[in-house]
Amino acid sequence: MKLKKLIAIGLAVVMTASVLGGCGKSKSSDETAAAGSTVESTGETGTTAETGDVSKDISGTLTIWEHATSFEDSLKAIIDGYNELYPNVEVEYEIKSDTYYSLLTTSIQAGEAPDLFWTNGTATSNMADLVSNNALLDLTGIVDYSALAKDALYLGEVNDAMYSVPWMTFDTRACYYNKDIFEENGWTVPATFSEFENLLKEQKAAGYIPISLCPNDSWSILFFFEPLLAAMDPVYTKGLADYSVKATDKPVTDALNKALEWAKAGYFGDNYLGVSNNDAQDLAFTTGKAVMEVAGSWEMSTFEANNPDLNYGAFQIPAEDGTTGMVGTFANGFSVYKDTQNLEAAEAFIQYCATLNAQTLWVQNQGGVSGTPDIPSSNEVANEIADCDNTYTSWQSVLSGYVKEGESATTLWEDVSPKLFSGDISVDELLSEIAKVMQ
Amino acid sequence: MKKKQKRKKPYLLFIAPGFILYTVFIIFPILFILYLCLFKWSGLGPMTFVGLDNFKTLFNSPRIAPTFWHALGNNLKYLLCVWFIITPVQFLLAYLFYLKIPFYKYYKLMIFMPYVISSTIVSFFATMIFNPSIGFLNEFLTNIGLSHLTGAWLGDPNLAFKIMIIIIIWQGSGSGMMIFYANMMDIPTEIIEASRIDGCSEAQRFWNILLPLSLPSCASIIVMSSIWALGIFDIPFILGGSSGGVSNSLDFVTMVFYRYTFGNVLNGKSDLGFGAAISVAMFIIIVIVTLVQNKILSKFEYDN
Repeated sequence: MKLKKLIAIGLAVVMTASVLGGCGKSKSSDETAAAGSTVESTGETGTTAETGDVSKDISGTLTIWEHATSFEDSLKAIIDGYNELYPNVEVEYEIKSDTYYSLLTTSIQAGEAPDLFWTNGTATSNMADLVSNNALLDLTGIVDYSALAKDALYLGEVNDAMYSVPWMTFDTRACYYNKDIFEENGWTVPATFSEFENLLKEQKAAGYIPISLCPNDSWSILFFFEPLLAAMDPVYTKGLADYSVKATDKPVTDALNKALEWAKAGYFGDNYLGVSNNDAQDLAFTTGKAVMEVAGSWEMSTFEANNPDLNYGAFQIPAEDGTTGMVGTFANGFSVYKDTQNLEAAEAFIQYCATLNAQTLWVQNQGGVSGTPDIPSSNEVANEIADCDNTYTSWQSVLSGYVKEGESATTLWEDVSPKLFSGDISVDELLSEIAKVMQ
Repeated sequence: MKKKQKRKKPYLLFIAPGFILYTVFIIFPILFILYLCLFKWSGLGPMTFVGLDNFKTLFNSPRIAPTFWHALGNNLKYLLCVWFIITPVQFLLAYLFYLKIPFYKYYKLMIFMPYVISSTIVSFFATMIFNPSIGFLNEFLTNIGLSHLTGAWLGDPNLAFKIMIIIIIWQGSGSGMMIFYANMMDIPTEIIEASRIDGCSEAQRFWNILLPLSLPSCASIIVMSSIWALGIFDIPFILGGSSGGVSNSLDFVTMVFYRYTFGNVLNGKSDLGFGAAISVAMFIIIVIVTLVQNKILSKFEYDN
């Protein structure tokens, strides 16, 4: 009996130890890695990034989180550039996609956050939330921002302190077009809004889908709607910069109604309601089923990945008076986790991001529109996008910036706008919902 | 008495590891969710106590409540499909193979094969077939001169749910079919032989022997499929997008949970407290449905 009891106790101890040992093992290996990479900040970081000297003093590992695969190539280029200066730092990155912010807050809450991570800066409230929860390192005095355009710095500024390094890519929207189809049909880039509408009519009559649009994704709708609004009423769109116009004024109603009118006319294809996501929207354009697509400048890398042979160009939808404008903002970059285990390497990385060299690598690998004359765009299409008369603040940034305390107009837009094209909600109902939460 | 208690202790030690892990990974999270649903919390920083406000929003908000009830309606609609379409199809297929129809081994393999493919992959390829602009189906119809039959498919609120059910039958019927088939093959041959000697027709054998003796496995399949039906996520998410498809035709409670709990990648407004409230509401609904279902299905047990 005693022997049985001993065996039972022994087995129970072995089982418990093996289970807990399994859990503990990975934790301790993490701890070892973390401990190995912990170094004291010398306060000298940034110097190497600025001068271009190679530093072997900084070592350990860094982990970086990005939010979309379309930024992967640029991130790799930045890491390579950083490793040329800091060869002893091992940099790992992860693309988190869909539930990005949720994963980020969970990792911060658990004290396991990446050393550096992307946020949308002050374009949405997330970065300010992280600052108020003491999760971000104050970069004021650590990073030299002199190489960056002054207009972009507001993206990283919360309570008069800097918490991120913006990228000099100008995240704008444009009307992309298939040059081969245009050439085959003798179409040219329209000079006025009426010409643009006539072009849509001709393309429809020729049996093409004039514009590829996903009506079920709020962001695809938004990035189509904003350039349309700017083309239909440039004066109103200029007023968005200082909120001298309301986000739900009549021009917005008119632009959304125009989008519905075009949908009814078949300009997005007869069965466009079945385009279920942004990828399907891009594929219709890159496979030549649709002649044009109105989307963000960051989509160019996706177009080229989908179809490297696609011969495409871009223009801004013109206003009736022939002027053109570019809607958008600078893109935000990385912030540093306050409790990073490798502060010195993280500070060196964020300083490197603020150098002209890193910014050039990012903008040119992204193939994006450059927001500063110091960095030429590597992509001819990006130059076509930037070839316009005006620059406008995006309607979405007004939704984020002038919303009532505790409300989220962007979430409301995400929730309700996909119901617009299916007829489940009218333009007036949508805008009246948004008006309720705006200042 | 004391001796008896002492004797029990080794057994307690044996169950301790499992019990501790179960408590840590199942019981504590459930209790935490029950606690969390009373708070507003983004996942970071202090939690704000809001009492039952999350439930009030879920059931009364003019924007969120209709979405939730519609999604729940879709879950229940799918549950009915499990009971009255998917399970009978699985049973019928198993019966055909039991009868050893010509090439039944080949058909069995073909029907079971999609089950081993991930439903995420199946859904992705379905979007490629039903996409109205670049999809195979519209292309095929156009090429054979039937362009008037092309459609928005998953973009048509009247068709989207039906297409999803067809995809689920195509992909998942193999599992239930195999259980039914194994059950039928287990029926003692003496009973079948006796029915033949007694001059039973095939229909009589089906109604009086095969069907009653398959009811226990039928109950298991329905219970498992129903739980799956109430938690379905991946297939409608890929087919209709995170917004739940056109007119929310492919919206389910798990997707409502996903949208409000985690937010969008660009906006990212997450509300874990509200997500917990949706989970609790869903948990209660699943318990009710399971109890009602078990009550009905208990009649199918052998000993009844």
